[in-house]
Amino acid sequence: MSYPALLDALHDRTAGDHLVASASGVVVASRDTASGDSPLARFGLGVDRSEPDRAAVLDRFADGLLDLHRHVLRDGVAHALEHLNSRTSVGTTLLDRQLVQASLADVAIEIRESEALRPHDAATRWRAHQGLVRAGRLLLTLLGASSFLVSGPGGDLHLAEVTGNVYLHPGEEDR
Amino acid sequence: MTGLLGHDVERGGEALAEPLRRLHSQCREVSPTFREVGIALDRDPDSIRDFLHLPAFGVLGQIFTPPEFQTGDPVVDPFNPTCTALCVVLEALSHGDPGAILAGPGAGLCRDVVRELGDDGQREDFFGRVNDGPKWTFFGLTEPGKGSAALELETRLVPDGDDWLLHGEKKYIGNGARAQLGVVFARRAPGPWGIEAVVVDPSDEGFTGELLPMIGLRGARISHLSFDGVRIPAERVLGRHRPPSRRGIYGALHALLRFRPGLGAMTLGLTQAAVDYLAEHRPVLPKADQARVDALNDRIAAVRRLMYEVAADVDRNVVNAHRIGSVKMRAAQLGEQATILAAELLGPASLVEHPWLEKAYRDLRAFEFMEGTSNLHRLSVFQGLLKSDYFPVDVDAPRY
Repeated sequence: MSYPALLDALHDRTAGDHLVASASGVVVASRDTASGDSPLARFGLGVDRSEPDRAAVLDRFADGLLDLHRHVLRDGVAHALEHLNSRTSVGTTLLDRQLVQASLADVAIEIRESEALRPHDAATRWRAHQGLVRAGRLLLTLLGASSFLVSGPGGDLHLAEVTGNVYLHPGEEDR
Repeated sequence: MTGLLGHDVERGGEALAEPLRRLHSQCREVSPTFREVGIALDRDPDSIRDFLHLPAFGVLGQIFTPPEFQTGDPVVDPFNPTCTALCVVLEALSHGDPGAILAGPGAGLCRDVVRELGDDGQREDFFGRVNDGPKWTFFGLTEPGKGSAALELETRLVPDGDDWLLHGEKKYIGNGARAQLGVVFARRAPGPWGIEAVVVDPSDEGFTGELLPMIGLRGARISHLSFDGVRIPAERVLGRHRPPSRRGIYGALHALLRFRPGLGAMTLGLTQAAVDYLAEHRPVLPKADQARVDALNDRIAAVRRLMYEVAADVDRNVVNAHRIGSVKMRAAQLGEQATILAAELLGPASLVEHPWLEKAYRDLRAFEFMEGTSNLHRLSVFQGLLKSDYFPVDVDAPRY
């Protein structure tokens, strides 16, 4: 499933009868469900405005977003393993390079550590998001120009970063 | 606070001579118009033709057209198109939008390879065609399975009488699918000296160009090119009058290494713009956050200083790939850090509320892989260490 579809499913599971609006009153969902125009439309996301949801709903949604970000990263790692194994240079695959292996391992370790974080408030969720952003950027350094294709880990990770910026940023006080 | 020292150059550019400071100032005067161009191209990459009248594109014409082929009135005071001048121009214009630069017509990266390798007739033909109305060009090196590993490229030239037939693919080629002219690197024989640089006309039979859906820098029209027996007349082999070791791959490296500081400059220009955007929209920050911004500005200034050092080296024919690559790599890393920090400090939903920032946030990611990924440049720095060729020997006396 695409990131927008997975995001819609998370909205459904969390709120059921409406799209979850962030504490700043911004809604991000697939273009099919959030019609507002934005540069993200090209990536399949729409942006609307609404009354912010209750804190309990936002907390559940935030945890789901972090899970979704980790899911995208794990898909990205799987993609990278395949992609780098299919590319050769100087008689060996890129996956055989120690530097590449170490970077992939770092991404995987970050994902596992993130799964064990159990964030309990806005600040810890934001820090967890930032860790995933760093891991994603490291992963993308391994994919060269293909990391910049809309269809692929680079596109999905961009959407996870933007969505986290909307829903997980705790604001000035709690950062 | 912006990165500018008054209305002069940015921190790190203190050593620039007066004519280059004036060039910088003139470029910064016209660069704000590129902000609008960049936003428009992000929506509609083909809208570039609506903006070609802007003076900033005239400046690009001055930098990417060899002086002997320039026509028309210059937009900024005439200047010697050195590597340092390239950095000054590209950083200043990228403060407006680097995507507009990459979307523009002209010789671009082909400038140096045609100028260096071409004979008089080839140069006149190439630059004459580029000057004849807005013409886009492409630099065809990167391949689907090999990236920009120039020595391993597989696109091949097959002899056909006095001509050659070009077969193969190139991927992630800026302006490839909309260009009227390009340079393609292809293999005529095994080994590094078996690589040739040939001028390709996309209207020729057997050429196909397909646009790739990219996350950012959409105006650059990054493309996948296929060559199915494209006929290359012998006179389109650049440097055919030179020995094999002084054409082909030599030309690719000559052009890339001389342009790479400019790519670092473009990255720094947008990076500085992101930091300046943050300062404009949040002029007062908590002390701890301001310290993070200050630290970033310090590093931007340091990399800018190093960029001008490697550019000055290039201008005196000292081309150190290890140092050049590290500048380009560091600039790209700072760019990502700057946009991530700006998005954080501008608050929740900043990437929705600030469309320019969201665009810069995407665009800056491209500089990570353009002209070699950061990992490749790290390895190059290591090779420089092995050869005792990374740290300059003529730096100022140590202060300990």
